[in-house]
Amino acid sequence: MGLAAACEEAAYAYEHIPFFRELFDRSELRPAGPPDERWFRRLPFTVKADYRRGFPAQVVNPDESLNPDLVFTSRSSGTTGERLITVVHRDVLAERMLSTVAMNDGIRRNVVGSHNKRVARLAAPNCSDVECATPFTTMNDRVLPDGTLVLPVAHDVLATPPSMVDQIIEELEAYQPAWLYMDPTHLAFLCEALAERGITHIPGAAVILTYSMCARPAMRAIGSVFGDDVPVAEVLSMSEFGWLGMECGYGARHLNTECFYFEFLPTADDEIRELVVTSLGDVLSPHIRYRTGDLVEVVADACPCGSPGPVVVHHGRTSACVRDGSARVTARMVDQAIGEIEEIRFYRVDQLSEQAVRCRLMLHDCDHAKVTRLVEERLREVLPTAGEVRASVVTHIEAERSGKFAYCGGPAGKGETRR
Amino acid sequence: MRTVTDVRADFPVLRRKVDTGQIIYLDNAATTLKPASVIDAVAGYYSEVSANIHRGKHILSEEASEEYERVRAQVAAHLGVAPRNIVFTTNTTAGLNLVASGLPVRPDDVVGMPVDSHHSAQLPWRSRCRIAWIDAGDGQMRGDDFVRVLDRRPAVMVFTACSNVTGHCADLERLVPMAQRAGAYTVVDAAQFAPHRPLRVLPEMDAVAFSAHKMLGPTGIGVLYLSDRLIDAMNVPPMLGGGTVDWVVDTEFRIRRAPYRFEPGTPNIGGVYGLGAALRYLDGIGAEALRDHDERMLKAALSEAEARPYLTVLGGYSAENRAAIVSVVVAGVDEPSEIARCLSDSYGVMCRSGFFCSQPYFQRYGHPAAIRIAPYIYNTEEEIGATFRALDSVYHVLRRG
Ligand SMILES: Cc1ncc(COP(=O)(O)O)c(C=O)c1O
Ligand SMILES: [Zn+2]
Repeated sequence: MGLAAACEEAAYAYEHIPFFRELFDRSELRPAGPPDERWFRRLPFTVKADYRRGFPAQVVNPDESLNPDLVFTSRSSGTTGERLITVVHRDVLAERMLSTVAMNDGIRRNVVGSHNKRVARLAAPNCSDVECATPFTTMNDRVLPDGTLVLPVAHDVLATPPSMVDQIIEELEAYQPAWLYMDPTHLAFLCEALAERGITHIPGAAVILTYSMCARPAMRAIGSVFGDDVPVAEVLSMSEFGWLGMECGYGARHLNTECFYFEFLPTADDEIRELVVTSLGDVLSPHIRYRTGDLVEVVADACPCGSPGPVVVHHGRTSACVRDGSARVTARMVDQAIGEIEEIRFYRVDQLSEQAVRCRLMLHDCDHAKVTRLVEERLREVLPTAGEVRASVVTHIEAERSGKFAYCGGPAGKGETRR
Repeated sequence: MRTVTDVRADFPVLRRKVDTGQIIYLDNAATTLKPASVIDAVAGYYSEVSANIHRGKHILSEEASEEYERVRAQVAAHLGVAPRNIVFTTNTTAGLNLVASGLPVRPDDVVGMPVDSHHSAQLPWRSRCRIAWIDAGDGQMRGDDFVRVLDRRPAVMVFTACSNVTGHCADLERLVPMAQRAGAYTVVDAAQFAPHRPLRVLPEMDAVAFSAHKMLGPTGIGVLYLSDRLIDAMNVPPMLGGGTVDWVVDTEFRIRRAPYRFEPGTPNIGGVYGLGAALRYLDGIGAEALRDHDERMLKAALSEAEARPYLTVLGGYSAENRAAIVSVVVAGVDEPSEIARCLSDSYGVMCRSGFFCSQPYFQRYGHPAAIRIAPYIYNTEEEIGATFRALDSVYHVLRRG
């Protein structure tokens, strides 16, 4: 069913979107007769740069209105080569959210079923539509029309000053959000700050984590504040699409096959695939065979929850991998190697050169030398050919310029998008 | 004469490809691109000399000192003044601050300045004195307002030689002497003027500041001309240290003469090499050719803008005494940053949006944020045309209600 819908989406895109008309014509793939699977499988992949270059004239349906009451404009937080503006119909976004959230009962009950629509968001300031990184804004300045309170936070999240943390806590108490929508690292930082202040509870009947990878140290910090009565789940979301998938009650991340058609593009590593997305039912700016740059591992076993969506383990972005010889080591693999070390609060691994990998650690009170050695050992196991693997304890780790906290920095000198 | 095509070949950045292919660089009022000769001069200092100036007797230090002082003389000749009046700073902003912090002004002194002054020309004085604003609604200081401010016996008059919003140039030859006769020190922000027109320092000017990076030179190096009378009036320089003194014992020290007293610590020597190369490059083009090209660019941009009912040019459509800097307001769009972003990402057009560090001008005259198209010697009429066509297509899609 999904594939048939994807074929229709592609045929629609050919008819209505200048970019796809030109692309398919150029590839001599103009649809002849009813769209079929074989045709779809031959269509070229698209990438972010196509949409960046084509916005707005080439990738937006010229017959559709851009009235902001109906259309949401998302500006992705990525800098330079990664940035992107996307327009989506608000009702399409809402439908994607509703059908995604259906995959987790606890969350659905507390989010969709909540008596109020108030949401509190804590994430990189660039992810929001309001400026929240200055201490001069008021709560009212930061409430979006849909009832989302965007909490204040520094661009460099771990450098958020205590006064701003106090402000976050006060605003949460005053706003009494129904649920929280947060970046896991930002929330982990907040949870640590709560613990320091002896606060054991914050308002919100559900927690949805998104924007960046849920690393284990962050999940530990979050778990210590939110007990069993508050469901916490990860949502897979992208600024291009909204919600694409969600963690079910059994902790598995399911993709939403009602609203999207997914393909898994092989990479050099057998287990790891690049997620490719085709939107379904998007008449405004459809995406066809869109390479997301996100790496996933597809889990074959059926999940006891019964959701039909395939289960994936998210491995982070292709740009956030380190290299071991010719092998790619994803941010998830790094996290699997060292994230479970309980003394770690935050960490960041950077590839300094082909040969050298550095890991910076922010630790709880403990024997630093011992933990550092352990981290180095674990990293050497996943990076067996790296000449130099060095860990050190630091007092601060900076966020990316986008405001997101990255656990893994790609090969040195990359990140330039020069061609 | 060299053609624009010849000129373009000298600028490595113009060979860079983005998503959409070639770039069209129209953000020159913020900073210009750098020709290979400037890049080579900076790199040459680091790869062949690299030594500090003034304080060493070895041959590398001699060589660096010689070039550093040679460029000072070159700049002085360019402006028609003596080298002793030329101070190397980091940029226009630093130069203007040096004057404001060095002059003994009092909080109730009046400082006159046009409403379209750059923040860098305003704020150093706004934090120290009372400001008398001079109306500049159509891009020129209004004459009667100028006289009204002079009647208040200002301690300082600040001039914007060329507005970075409208491109209009002030009639300095008439106004600066009037200001000096009224007893004011005259301070000229020449950041936008110097790249576009030959900058001659008038005897009635007390301070003139500009930046190398807006005229093909490197960032981090600026020029400040100071008149003898201003140097005499200035307090002990706000920053002292190595290079600023002749003689120091534990109980006293003697400050060096100008300009050295205003250049504390190790300066941007590589930047000075680059500035020298930039001036040579501009000399090679010639003032006349520079002006001709500038006028063609201005006329092209003004007529493209005028042909579009949805655009309004700030400062009107006159090309008289105006540099090629054209800011347009887009009808119904208060926040054009998305348009600027689309121009870049979808058409390779690099231009700026916002208030261009002249926010009071926008506020006073009720203009929303604008888009600024600022060509320079390597731009072509085709690029201007392509930019406005790109603007059409972005505007028409984004404005579709
Ligand atoms: C008129 C004017 N004055 C001053 C400045 C400040 O120059 P800089 O940033 O090099 O100090 C600028 C630059 O934008 C300008 O346009
Ligand atoms: Zn499940």
